[in-house]
Amino acid sequence: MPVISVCSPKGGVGKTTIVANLAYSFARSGTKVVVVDFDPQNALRLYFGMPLNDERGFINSPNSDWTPSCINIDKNLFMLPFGKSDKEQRTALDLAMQSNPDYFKDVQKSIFEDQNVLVIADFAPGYSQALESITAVSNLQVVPLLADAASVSLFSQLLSGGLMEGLVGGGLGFYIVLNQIDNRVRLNREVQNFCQQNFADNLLGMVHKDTSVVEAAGQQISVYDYNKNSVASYDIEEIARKIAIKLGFDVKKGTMIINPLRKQNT
Amino acid sequence: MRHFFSYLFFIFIALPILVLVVTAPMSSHNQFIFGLTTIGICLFAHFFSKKHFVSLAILFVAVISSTRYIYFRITQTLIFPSWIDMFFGYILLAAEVYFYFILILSFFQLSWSLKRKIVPLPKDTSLWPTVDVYIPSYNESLEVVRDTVLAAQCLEYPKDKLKIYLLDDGKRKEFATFATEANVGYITREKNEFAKAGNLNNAMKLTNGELIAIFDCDHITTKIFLQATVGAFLKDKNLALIQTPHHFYSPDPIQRNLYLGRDIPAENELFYGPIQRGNDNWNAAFFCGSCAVIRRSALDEIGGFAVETVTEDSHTALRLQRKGWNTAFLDHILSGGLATERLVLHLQQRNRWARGMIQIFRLDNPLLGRGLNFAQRLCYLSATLYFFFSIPVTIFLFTPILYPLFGISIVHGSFELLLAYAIPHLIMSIFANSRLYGSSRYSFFGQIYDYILSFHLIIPTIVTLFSPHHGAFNVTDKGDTVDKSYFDATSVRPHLVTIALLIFSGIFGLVKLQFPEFFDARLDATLLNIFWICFNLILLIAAVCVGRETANKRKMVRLYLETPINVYQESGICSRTMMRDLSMSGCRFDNFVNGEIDIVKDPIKYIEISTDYKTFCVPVERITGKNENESYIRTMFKDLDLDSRREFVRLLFSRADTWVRPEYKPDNPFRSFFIILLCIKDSFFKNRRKDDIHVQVVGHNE
Repeated sequence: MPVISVCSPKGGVGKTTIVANLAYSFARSGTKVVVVDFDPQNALRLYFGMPLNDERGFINSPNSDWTPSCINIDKNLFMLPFGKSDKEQRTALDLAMQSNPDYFKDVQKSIFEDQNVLVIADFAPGYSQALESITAVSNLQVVPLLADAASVSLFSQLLSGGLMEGLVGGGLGFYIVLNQIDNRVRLNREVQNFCQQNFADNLLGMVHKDTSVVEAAGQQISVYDYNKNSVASYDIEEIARKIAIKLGFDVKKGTMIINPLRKQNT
Repeated sequence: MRHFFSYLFFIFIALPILVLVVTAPMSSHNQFIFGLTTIGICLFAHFFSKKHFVSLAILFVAVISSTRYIYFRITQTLIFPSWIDMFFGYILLAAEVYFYFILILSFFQLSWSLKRKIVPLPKDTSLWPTVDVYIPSYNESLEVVRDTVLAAQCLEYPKDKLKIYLLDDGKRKEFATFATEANVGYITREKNEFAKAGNLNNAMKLTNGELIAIFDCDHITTKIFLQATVGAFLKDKNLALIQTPHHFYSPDPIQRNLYLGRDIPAENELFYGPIQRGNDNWNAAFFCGSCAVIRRSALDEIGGFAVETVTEDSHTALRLQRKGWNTAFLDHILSGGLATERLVLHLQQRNRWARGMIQIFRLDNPLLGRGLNFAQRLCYLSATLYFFFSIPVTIFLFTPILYPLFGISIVHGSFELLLAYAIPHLIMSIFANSRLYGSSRYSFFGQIYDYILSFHLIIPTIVTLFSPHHGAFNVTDKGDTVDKSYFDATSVRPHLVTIALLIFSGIFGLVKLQFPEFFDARLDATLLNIFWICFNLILLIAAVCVGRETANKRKMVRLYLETPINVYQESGICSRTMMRDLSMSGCRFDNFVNGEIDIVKDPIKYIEISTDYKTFCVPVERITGKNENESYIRTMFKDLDLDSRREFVRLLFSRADTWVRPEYKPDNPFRSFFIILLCIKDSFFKNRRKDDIHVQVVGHNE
């Protein structure tokens, strides 16, 4: 069972959006996906249409099997919300992870045993215990960054290994996704060019700045369902496809929808 | 030794036989049979084989027939009853002799055509010479010049070896600004001495590339231009010039007003094909002012571009060749330009060409002076001599009215004998021309081109012939469109007067025949002249049709290009769709059928296009596609910045396969004449053919 962790040294870069839409993307292609929210903000559930007052989550059973906390969102799509928590609960969870190197294998046994399930995990920005602990089982890390001047320096720091050391690097290692690219803005374009020229090997893809993303989140649906022609949705599908190729798991040919541009109307 | 025997054979056996064949007197009956037999054999050979030596044999027979005719004319038809008959008789003979020489010269030029191949450049780019690209401009609009400059920037050549200069003789501020923004050199000068040649010479002083590529400001180059041409300079150290065809993507006035969308070879097809290839075979390819590369050291040797004539291009080539430099013609269309838009501009341009070539004839006659070999002299002579055509063409036009109107009999002798000599001569020369270059110019169309120009060129021709230093360079305007259809009566007034005169004299001739008691008119001579008048009338009417300027709404090149694009709406919603076609002014793409997108309330503001080189956004305004049931949305670009514009130029004009030479059906003189009649009919009844005239580059997917 492959694990993809989505993390970033910086907040507000669109991690949660990317996790949600990557999950939708894989699910549409026929892959079973479990999204796990390790961010105490407990916001990922909102992208999947869970009501605000639904406060269930694995935080309530930190040391037992998490499977009962798994909520079926849609065909192929499952979610493990963090749940509503207090500080003690969070400290307890961190301690449990720290003390047991096989923590994830224990709590997510049933999920891990199913080779056909893809796990996508979302984390709080910067350092978190969960992120450090999952490195052992993570197959690939996706690091979203914004296409702004600050990201250029972050990018170099990430590559030199100083920033987020020990947090990323499990499995195939980490890949950057430039989020909210906007070719109407000159600086944005230059950052893209710089990244493409200098970090091509570590650049997984780019996601356009597209109001469809915001609108879709507001309606608690996938970007694709909000706007079938959405460019951001198309970009994320491209990224999903690349991840699938990198991880070597089979995306059934033809079932992964790379944005049908036009319905064939005769 | 072998050569010696060939010469002996030629002088003592072949030549006397030829002289006998040409001079042998025959009765009209025998001459008819002789003529018809030669035509029959040639026709048989024509249908039997397409081989080149058969073409040469047919040419040879055509030359013999014509020579026989001219010999007959000179020896047997010049006995005149009065001095006035003699006056006109000798004028007609002079015109005929002129065309006889032009025929022989053009056969010589066209007989062996060189199909030159591209010489590839070495892999090591450090061996590539440095190139300066000159784009001279005088009064053309920035609109026209801009894309030419941007296309030059897309040339695939090492950046450190390529410099582009905009040579502005108009001293225009917006041109200087544009050059700075586009990052190309800008050169202007105090006095505009010697027009274009002076402009180029001035730039030569300020730049230092080993090679100079010249593009007129409306000739948009493809990216492979230099890679296709520069190699030849490395292979042949003695090569001074390589010329490529001028290809026009907009219809010229003749195509637009007379051909009305029919597939008929354009006027320049003959020159930028068989003629230049033939010249190249004799190492006499001409420089045509644009779309060419010249070696700087060769130019230095002749003191820069020639400034003495108004056709600096041909004259420069002639001078280079006198110094022993080689020239080349590469028959690959590597650039595209705008044709002259209107008849009156076409006339102006040809006026300049005619004056320039006659100036060369007078001031630097290719037959005289040092440095050229015999073949080169003949090729250059043919080019300069050709531009005297207005005088003999006018003579041919008016000669047939002399007999019906005034009873002036200018050809003496038996009517049957005249026909027996003239008919094989005419048929064989039409036939040989048709066989030799029929797919580049259809039979009789050359006469139409000549008729369009003749009246307007006759005075400049005579003035220049006697006063070759007279006259200035005039610039051909390019890039404006004909908005409304109108009739250019000024340009075709002489034609209309001539038509009236021809019709009147034809009718008068018939009247004369009706009343033999009052008039003394011979039936055969009158009918022959009326037949000749009718033939002239048809071609002249075709020439007048060109004066009916039909509106030309679009001058843009549109490319069918299927590529995904992203469309931004005002709210920031960004959607992907498929572009279907693109021009410099706008594009068309698939409408969104899913219904989530409301392009009325939330208008489209930008589109984002990705090419092999870059991704960029351009502001747009939607024109059509409001309703969901419309398949496509059309948008118009607003305020393209230079970088975006350059990318569009790259997509639209710069591809190696942008231009393809159109293929035409082989010529058939009967069909060709019938097409002329159809063109006239359609022009009169305004039957625009359905297919749009503007040229489209079709079907390129990336």
